[in-house]
Amino acid sequence: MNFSEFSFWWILLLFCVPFFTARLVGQSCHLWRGSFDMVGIAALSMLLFFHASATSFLVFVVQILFNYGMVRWMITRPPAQERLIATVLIILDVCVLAYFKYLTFFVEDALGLVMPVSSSWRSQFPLPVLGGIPPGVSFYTFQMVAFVVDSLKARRKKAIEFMDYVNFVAFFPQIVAGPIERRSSLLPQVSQFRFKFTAANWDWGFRWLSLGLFMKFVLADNIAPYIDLQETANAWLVWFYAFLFTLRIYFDFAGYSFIALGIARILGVRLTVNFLAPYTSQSINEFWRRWHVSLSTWFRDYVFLPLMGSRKAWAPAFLFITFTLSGFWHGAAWNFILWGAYHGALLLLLRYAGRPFQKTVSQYIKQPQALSWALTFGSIILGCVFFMEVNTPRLFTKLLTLVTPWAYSWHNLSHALSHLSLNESVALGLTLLLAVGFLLVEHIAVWQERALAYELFLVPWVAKTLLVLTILLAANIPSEFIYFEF
Amino acid sequence: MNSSITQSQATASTLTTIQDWMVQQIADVLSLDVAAIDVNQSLTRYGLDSIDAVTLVADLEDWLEQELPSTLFWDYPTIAKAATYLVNEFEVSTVPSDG
Repeated sequence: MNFSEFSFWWILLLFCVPFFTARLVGQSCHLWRGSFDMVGIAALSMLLFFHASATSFLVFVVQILFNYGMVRWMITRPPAQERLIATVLIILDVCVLAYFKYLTFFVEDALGLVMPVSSSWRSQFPLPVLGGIPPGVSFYTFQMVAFVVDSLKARRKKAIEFMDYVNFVAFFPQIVAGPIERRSSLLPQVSQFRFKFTAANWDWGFRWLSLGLFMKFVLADNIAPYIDLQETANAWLVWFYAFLFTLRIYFDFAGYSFIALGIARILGVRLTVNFLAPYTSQSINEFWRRWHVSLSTWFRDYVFLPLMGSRKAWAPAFLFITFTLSGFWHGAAWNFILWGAYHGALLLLLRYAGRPFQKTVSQYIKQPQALSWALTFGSIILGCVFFMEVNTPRLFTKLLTLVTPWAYSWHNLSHALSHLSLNESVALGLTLLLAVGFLLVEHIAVWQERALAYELFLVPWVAKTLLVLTILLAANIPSEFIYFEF
Repeated sequence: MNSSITQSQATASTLTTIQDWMVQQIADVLSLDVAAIDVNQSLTRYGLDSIDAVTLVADLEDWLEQELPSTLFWDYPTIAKAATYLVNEFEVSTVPSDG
């Protein structure tokens, strides 16, 4: 759901006031049944999804009915048939995703490379070709696929209730942009769903909400207007915009995830903590254990490990393929494939060249952690050059600029230092100060080996301060959540 | 009472043996000094990657003659946590002495 849209909160309020009034009255008259909670949360999720996109809502309903029916049938069959049904279902789910998300890319960008494609192919195509990606399709498809696999592997083949399945795949805080939840963690919490408005849930929910709102509306949205994709000739500025984008994408997506976490917690559901202070990482391996945790573990469990099977000697190749596929999941464009391949290649580079390098360096530097962190963070920023630029020719121009020595001229440097007005410099400077301070606190928490990297932000008085800062400093014009495009 | 003390001593001994085995393997794989490895430190901090994690589980399976979850070192990211999990969740009360 788009938490930055006023209409989301408005619909939430319009639903919740009459629903919870009726619940309160019903409970006091002993007329309220627990199952009404289960139906209520499903209705709210569906209403919010319908509001996000009526067309996508229809597709989503069909997918829910189809997946539920197939899984229910699957678990009653003998093992061989069970596997066959699971395979067919997963292929169909992926086909739906491919149709909505990748069709235009496959025809125009991939097929277009090897043969001429008519400009009127859309009108000749037997199915309607959508202009955009339906909200949440990438996320809920992965959750549905994971559910099929986990149901297949489950020791006890017990059919689940239809409403429990609806609440598992449609739970509104996380349906559109994750976290991608698993059967074992979310299903027990939404089965026979009951609202659990305890003092502790409200308290923790608001703390996570404050953190998420601050990251999104103060940090991400105040950085977003300063990122210029058009700049290709000035190497200093290409790096600077990539640095700003690196900050923005983290604060935007982690902010979204923590808002989702906070709302879910208020309702009594604990979602996965999707980020674990990724910019404190001292290696790319560590980065991928801290960044978009639910997606990384999804690819590990449902792509990397099954693809590799017992062929462990081929693990490096499968790792590279998995990362390239993970890049492609992010968007139907070459730059995302390149971004995934870049990270896969970095992991292999670190494995085969990084270890001897680190050994040599540690002979001269006693505490190489700072250098490891700087190299890791630099690699992430370079990766963001790929990620942020959908225009492939412009991406290559930027990469060429970055390796051209004279693109780092004094003239370019002075232009980079003076391209903002005084007001802009002050506003961006203040935001960057807050952002760097934020990352520093994460470093301290990791250094102190706290159980959670965000623990210091969740201290009650800090959470309240973040909320006040959000009210005072939130960007006037909120930007779109980046991951909604995926 | 005596049998419970003996059992806890045996468990502690198994735990130590598994931890020592993991420390030795990780030191070999990552070319590190055994003394430099802290069993409570996250393995990614020593440079253990996904490929090492799955191959290490395969070696551990061979050594313990048990089928183990491939995601062991993701779910239990330190030597201490992984070894404790193995002792608690799998019947590894005795481990091969030829380690």
